[in-house]
Amino acid sequence: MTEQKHPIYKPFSRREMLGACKCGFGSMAFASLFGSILPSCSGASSGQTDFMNHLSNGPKAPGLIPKAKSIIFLYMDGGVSQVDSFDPKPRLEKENGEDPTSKFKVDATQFGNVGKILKSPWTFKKYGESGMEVSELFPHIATCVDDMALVRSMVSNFPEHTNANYFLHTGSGLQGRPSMGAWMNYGLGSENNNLPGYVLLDGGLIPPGGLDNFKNGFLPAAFQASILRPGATPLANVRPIDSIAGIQDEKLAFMKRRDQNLLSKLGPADEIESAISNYELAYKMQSSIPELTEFSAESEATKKLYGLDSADPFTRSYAAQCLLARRLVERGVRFIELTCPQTNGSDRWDQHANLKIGHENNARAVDQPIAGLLKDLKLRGLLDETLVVWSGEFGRTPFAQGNDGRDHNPSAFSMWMAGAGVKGGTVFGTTDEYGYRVVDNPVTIHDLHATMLHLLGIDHKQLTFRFGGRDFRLTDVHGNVVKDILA
Amino acid sequence: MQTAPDIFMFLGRFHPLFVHLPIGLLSFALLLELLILFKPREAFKKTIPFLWLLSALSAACSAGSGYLLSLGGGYEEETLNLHKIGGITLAVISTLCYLMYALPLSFMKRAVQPVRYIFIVGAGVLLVITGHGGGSLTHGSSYLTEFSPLSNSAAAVSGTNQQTNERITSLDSADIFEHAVMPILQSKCVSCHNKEKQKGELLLTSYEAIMAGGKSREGVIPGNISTSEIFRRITLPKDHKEFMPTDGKKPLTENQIAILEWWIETGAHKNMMISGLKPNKKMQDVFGDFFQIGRDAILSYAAKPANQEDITALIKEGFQVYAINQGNNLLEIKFNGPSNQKPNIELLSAVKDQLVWLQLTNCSIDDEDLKSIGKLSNLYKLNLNRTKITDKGINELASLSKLEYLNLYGTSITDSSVIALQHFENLKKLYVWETAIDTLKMDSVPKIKKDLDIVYKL
Ligand code: HEC
Repeated sequence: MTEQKHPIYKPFSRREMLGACKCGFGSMAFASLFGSILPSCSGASSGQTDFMNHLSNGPKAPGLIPKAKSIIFLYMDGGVSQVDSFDPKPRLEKENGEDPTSKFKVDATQFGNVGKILKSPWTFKKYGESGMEVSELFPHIATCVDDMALVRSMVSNFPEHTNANYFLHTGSGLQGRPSMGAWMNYGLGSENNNLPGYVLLDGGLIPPGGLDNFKNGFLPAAFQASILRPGATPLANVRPIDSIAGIQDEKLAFMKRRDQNLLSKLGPADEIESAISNYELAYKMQSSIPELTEFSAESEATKKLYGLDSADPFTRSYAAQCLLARRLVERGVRFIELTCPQTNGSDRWDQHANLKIGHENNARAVDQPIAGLLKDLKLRGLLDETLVVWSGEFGRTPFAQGNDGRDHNPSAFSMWMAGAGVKGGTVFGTTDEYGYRVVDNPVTIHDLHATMLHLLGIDHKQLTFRFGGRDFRLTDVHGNVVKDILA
Repeated sequence: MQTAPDIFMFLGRFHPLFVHLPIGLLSFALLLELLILFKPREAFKKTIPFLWLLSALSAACSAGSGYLLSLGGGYEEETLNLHKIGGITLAVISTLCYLMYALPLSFMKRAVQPVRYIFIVGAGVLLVITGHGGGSLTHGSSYLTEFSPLSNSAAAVSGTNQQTNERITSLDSADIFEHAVMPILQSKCVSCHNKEKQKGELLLTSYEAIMAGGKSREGVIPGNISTSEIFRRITLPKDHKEFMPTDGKKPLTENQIAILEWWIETGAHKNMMISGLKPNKKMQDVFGDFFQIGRDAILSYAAKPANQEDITALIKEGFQVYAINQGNNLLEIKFNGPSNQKPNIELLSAVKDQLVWLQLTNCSIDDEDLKSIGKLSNLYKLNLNRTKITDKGINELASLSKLEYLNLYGTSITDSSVIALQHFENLKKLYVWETAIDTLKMDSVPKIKKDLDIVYKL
């Protein structure tokens, strides 16, 4: 064995040698997959190595004709009840209080506390030209139905939050896979050198499963989500802490020299290259983030549209996140996810009890801001190039848990999309008369991912990353684009 | 013509295996012959005769198997003959080269030497010609040069088929044969059924040839799909040995099959517009999908790549330049403020052919600049929101005949612009929120252009 010169210095092994040689062809294949067109077009990214250009900067041309340039994912953490929101079921009304086990086969639920059939406490109305039915929980979103494609036949593989969250975010129920936002940035790169391509707007609640929902997994570290918190300091140290001008620059330059020195000894190493690019990006964010979160240029009418003047602090908070999302889209950020505000303590939409109060609190917080976002995007012409996706990780049972709650239900839930490439006013898929199971056109999480990638101009079967000896995809070996909801 | 016994055909199929041996061995022999001129090493001298022997044997095997393969037919005569003669000659020359070493000829060395050199040079030239001939026979004569940077064929630009240049925007202007049937056969079948490589004695390059069919029967019988050989072949189970295309090539898509079926059923017409054949709703959708009618029409065009220097200049000027997608070379260019700045938009004319989406927003672009923007004739999307333009400049944009999307929100245009813009033929979306237009009037006055979506208020 060769003597080690440096703690992390190691000689080439045979495998690494082969790996390094093959990279020549690998990168050619990569270039042909994502179009190496305009390699020098990445604007002002001077002074960076080629590898880092590939890593975080420089947009890559998609393979298909893209409809969307950005995606805003409105994550309804905890699982919204479909039969109380977008999937009306008159039969629940009729059979309210009856025993569900005498009517249909009831799957095991998380808490095993199966109660009676529970009608929705809210009434539904038809809206828009399309006549899509929406419950009174969402009076504002209901005014946007003609821009929305509703899927009532979503299914998930997991009846429990953590796995279901990983599944929704990464296409796998296990921890550690890259998040969809990371995949999309890996596929397309960012159009903004001063902001990360994947931003998580933390509403106050990080969902079960934690930050692994938003990580890069085996993709280069630069593709993970950057998290912006609500409130005055969205990001730690976003204002330089060094009081003397120039000190920070010198520190950064010094660190970069050291890192690059190490890099030149080691050859390509994602950890170090990502660290260098992250430092650079962090530096740029010291000016781009304050500018981003400064709302003074927004008109009063716009702020009102989102509900920034609401009496409810949670509505105000979510409104600010939504407005921020629009501003991020304007700045070319690819993937933006919003998590929910802490409306019901840590219960999110997860109403195992107190369905009425809990869902109402949540709905009040998100309804107007979401509608405001859709309308504002539309007025500015941005809805033509932005895809807005609204979904939880699963649905809820049509029968009660205890008396006034609903348990988890992965066999049916509702999701909607609006914006770029979406056929507005469409309703796709159907559930049974209780809203318990999908009977027609099931749409899986993989299908959802495939559709999102498709709208960005990426064929989900082509977006692969080799790790641990095989090619991985966001959609694994599954996924069909849901053409019926596309324009 | 397939009269050759099966065993011949079987051995013939080894040709693709054998051919690569003499190519490699001969190249090596030639290389050593060259090297030995400069470095007469002992090892080289000992190796060369052996190499010639191997070359001669493998060339003979190739020629033999190649001859057997050619008995199966289906190749273009002229190219085939050239390839055949080349291959046989090459085998002979290699043998002679070997013999010149192997036979005791040293007594007449002076006479042999020049002949040897002629043979060696000849073998080199023949190797290239014959190898290329073989390639042309299997892959088609344009295979090698199709994507060469020197070739200016449309294929090199668009990456696929030549037909895309003429875009179909309505079924009234689409000829069923020329615009639908032919391009399908072109993309999936012609590589094996052309003049050079006429598999099954079937040519699929002209209407007459398609109707006539190949060695067994007519290709197409108008109005009768069940007896049309071409249709039978494409609808067999994929693992059937007569399924077309063979060799695991990409099969026809459902839409493509539906189109061929409909074409045959409606009488296999040659000069007939699709709308004239009264397609039902389902077929209208199939054709709509096939021609991508109404779907980001312009993005299906392919342009020549823009000059790298022009792009560099644009980036220097502060523009952001993006590719719309891979392969079509079309560009999206952005300039996003700050509001007191104005980029040099004259630079844009250099990428006029590629530029389809221009965003000059939140900057001090004014009416004067619209003159040059009006010359960017490929624009289909234009964002001028939050700039200093007014009604005066709007008509400069009238020359943008492909314009489908115009975003003018946050400018000071008034109703008169909205009226003028309704005469833009292809405009589908117009954004005029937060402008000086009279929203009440907009609500009450009926639109002139029905298919124009005007977004001006919540
Ligand atoms: C990879 C080469 C290849 C491709 C591509 C190909 N063919 Fe063929 N084709 C053959 C060969 C080899 C034969 C002769 C053997 C046979 O009859 O099966 C043949 C024979 C035929 C015949 C029978 C001719 C006759 O009269 O005996 C028809 C019809 C035919 N092809 C149609 C098509 C059509 C339609 C397509 C496009 C969808 C197509 N082929 C694509 C190789 C090909």
